Amino acid sequence: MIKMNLQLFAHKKGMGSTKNGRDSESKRLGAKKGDGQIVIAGNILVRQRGTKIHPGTNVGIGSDDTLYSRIDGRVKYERLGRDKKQVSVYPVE
Amino acid sequence: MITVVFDRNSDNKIIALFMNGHAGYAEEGFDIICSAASTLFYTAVNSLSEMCGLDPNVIAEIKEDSGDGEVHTSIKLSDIDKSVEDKVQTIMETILCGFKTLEMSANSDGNKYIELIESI
Repeated sequence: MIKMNLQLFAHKKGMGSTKNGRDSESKRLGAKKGDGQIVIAGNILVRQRGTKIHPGTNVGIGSDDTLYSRIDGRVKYERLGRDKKQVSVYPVE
Repeated sequence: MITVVFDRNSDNKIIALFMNGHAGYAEEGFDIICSAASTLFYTAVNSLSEMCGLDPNVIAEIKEDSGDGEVHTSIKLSDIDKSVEDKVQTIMETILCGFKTLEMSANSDGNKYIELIESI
């Protein structure tokens, strides 16, 4: 068994207001990580309704079409066929 | 906002759980949403360890906030022995149910402290 930190996902004391830690209910759609950016597994890459951008290598798609990274790595936006786009994440060498 | 991602493979099996970010509900020691999420995460890790014999140090990664405002945790379930595969899935589906329950009530004041993403 590993010992639990009951406040693992809490802001540390004195680290800025808790106001900025929340996201408002309004849906901010669009790309959340840019081309070439370094991401962590689980990071949201794109919020969208419908698949304007498709999941590429090492990218998963949620039930609401949100795209997220499956690995730690670097983001790459790519063409998919003639007129579509996809986003992939590649490990950083 | 804590982002919780349940990643599934093409057989619809849960293969990973990723959790990033702070709840932002209150400061350390008073953040009830953070403690609920923490409890679910550690329950997953310790259940997989105690009931399935998986090594927490192998399957789990915990990067606590060292003052940089970043917290990342993950459970990665690759190469699971066939003999415990069903039990592992039952545990992870139970934890997913717990996060669905938490997300329903945690965001009820109109703000988003936790977001659950389940891959299709």
